[in-house]
Amino acid sequence: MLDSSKRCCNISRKAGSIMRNALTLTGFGKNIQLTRRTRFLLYCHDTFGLGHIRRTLSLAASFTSLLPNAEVLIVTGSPLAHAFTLPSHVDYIKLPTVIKMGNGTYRALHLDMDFATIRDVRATMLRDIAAAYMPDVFLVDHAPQGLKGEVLPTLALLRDSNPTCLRVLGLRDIVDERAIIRQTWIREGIYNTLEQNYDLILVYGSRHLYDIGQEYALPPTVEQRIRYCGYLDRVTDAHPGNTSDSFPQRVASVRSSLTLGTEPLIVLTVGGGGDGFPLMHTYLSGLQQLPSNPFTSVLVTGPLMDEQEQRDLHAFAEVFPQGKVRVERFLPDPLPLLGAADLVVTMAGYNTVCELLALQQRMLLVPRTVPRQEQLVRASLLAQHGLAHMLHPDQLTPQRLLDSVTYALTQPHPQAWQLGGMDITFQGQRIATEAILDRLTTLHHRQRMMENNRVIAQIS
Amino acid sequence: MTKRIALYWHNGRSLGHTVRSFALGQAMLTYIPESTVVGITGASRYYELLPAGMDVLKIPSFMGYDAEGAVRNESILAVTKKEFQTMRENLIASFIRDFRPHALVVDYNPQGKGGELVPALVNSPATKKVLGLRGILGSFAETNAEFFSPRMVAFIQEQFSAIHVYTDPRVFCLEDYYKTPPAINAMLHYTGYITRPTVATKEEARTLLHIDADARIIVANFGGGQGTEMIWQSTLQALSNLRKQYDVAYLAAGPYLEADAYERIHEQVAAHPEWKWVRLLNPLQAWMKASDLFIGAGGYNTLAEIITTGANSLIVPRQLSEQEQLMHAQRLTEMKVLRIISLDTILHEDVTTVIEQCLKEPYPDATGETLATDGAYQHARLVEALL
Repeated sequence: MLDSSKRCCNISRKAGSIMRNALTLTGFGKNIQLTRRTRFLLYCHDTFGLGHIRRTLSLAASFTSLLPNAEVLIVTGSPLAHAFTLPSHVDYIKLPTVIKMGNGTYRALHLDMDFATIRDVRATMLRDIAAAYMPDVFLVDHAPQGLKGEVLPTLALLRDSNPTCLRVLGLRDIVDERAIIRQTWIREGIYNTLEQNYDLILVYGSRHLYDIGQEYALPPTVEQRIRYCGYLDRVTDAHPGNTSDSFPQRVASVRSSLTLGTEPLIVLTVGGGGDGFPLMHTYLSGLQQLPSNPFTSVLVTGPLMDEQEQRDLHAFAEVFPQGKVRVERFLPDPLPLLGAADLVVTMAGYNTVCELLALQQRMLLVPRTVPRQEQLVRASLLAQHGLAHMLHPDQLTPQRLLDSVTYALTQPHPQAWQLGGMDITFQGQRIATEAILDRLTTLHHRQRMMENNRVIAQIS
Repeated sequence: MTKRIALYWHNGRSLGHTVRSFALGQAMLTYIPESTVVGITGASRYYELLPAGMDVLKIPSFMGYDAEGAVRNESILAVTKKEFQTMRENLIASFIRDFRPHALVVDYNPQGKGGELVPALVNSPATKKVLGLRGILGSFAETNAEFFSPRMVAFIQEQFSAIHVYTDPRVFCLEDYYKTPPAINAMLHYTGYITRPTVATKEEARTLLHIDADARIIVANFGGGQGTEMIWQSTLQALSNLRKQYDVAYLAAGPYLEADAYERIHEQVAAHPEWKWVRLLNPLQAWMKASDLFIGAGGYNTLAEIITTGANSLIVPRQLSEQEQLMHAQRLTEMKVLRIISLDTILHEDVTTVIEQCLKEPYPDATGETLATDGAYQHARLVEALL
């Protein structure tokens, strides 16, 4: 396996060769140079939580830092895109926000428009953006057809009027439970969409842990377009200060600021927080029943937790002796706190699990099971391989949760050999960039040959 | 029946348009029954103040910020001017066509940045359009040429139902200063200043912010903060000379003060326990109300909040390319609402005695005595009447 610096050199060399290819053509006296930046258009529908926009921004940062002369335009529905620092050469367009309801249906968050109308509005806008921007790469996050098909007009436009645009689908390690996916993808024509519209499918996970081609019964023609990238690097990526040298100091600083004694530090985090209240409230209820205060606890509610629920948690925290339970709303870089914990109790969202696996942190997962079972599948697999502990949400009671916490604290942290055995790596952004560049190089080579032939035909 | 309302503001260099638009959005959501409000803008900062219930369509930005947070005077995307204009124009037009707003409130520029709003305005005849102007727009010659040329006047007349001027006519009367034709004068409605709600008394503000009731407090903030390091240096020198005349100085850098400048001042401040150096003080209007002296820049929102809070204030009008801040602050100085100090003075002279005078002879708190500060409410009321 290449080390990071060699990979970077390879990526730069390939990117440079694309530019040289263009310059070669000027030898014919024709102005067909690639004089503009390589344009990435990233679509991320984002109807719930922070996971999609965080992943998208992380990939955008990787594209612009690893590829010279690249720029990214993100199209998202996330109401929280502004909360993150935009990497250099990255701008975004925010579409009117749509949210996912508990039953899996969608509605406009604020606007007085029925769902079909707002979906059509968003679809038209996305298509217009693609038509004006003329991207070299169009990367769709997670949903092959976009939110209820809103990306289909754009895919059709690119196929017909911008055929050299590389159309890429990015999937997290697990999309949903296999039977559900197989049914849904047949019903919604997604197998066709994959077959006809995508040149490359990036999977940000490990094939050893979950083989998407096999689990979701992808036809061979689609399966061969898959590139497993490994998990995304959420540690060094999240904060430039998180180097292997400085991170232990940042962790120590967190522990010191919490004035910990010998008691364990339990951190609860629930991603965006939209449905995280029951887990946190149950935890505090369990903690309250204990005769002493054996832990120091930090609860990170996430910015999407209902304000009343946040107030309730703050009020509940005051029941405990001062400093024993802290409630934070949002941490731009939660990594040092996660690293400082003796145990992290969380749902099983992709980003948080990436972070905890990379930190080789003990984790107790209480996965979300509706409207998708992706977290349940992830948590079950990790528990099965000894990389995490799991409590099924159907069994979530104060007593059981605290018993699970107490038990998990006695168990070892995930070990490097366990991760290696499952081929769990954390270079997803870099490998994704490399995979895109490989395909772009091929496309540009093909384009160059066509142009050469055209010019030679003109000369002769 | 639901009232669909869209607000347009292009993103400029400062936070002012965004803050004002959010205040207008909040008021319309509050006072217009069954209203739904969406902002259309290229601004990418300060969404922390986005009112609950208001959505935003963010279009590509004219202004970028580099990794250190400094403002770049160019689009982030390396597209041609035409491609960029087309993208923004098409996004706005297609959204307005499908959203079919009952009202469209356009901030400051009648045709939008570079005329990008024209297709949306022309193709939405059923939508009532309101042009919102902050009052003082700029110098006499430039403003007349830009806003009140015969061609622009004809456009405004044809497209807009009303012009809302977000000031008190006793401070500034558009038609008295600029060369506005009668057709424009007939469309003008003065709403009063657009401000955000705040606490009524200094005591309440201090309770809210957990500040000692008897402490002598200075609060300083120069708007967004970009390029203000030298102003801060001069201010800090004076505060250092006056350290026995106050207990605590709360110093808010602003989100756009360059990261290296922020760090340099951060190190300087470490030697002064009486100085509290932060990026933002939120809500700033409560901090102003709690202060014994506020030192700030002369943007519209700051001046409006000085009027609302009655804060004893020393202002540095620091806009270089336009005259609006200086004109506005000078007018309020004539009315004894605040004191000003020129940019040249603060950059090149010791301002200790000026700040000392402000501390010793504070202007009385004349909150709400004379000037109208309920502009957001009046604006909402006028929009509702149009519908």
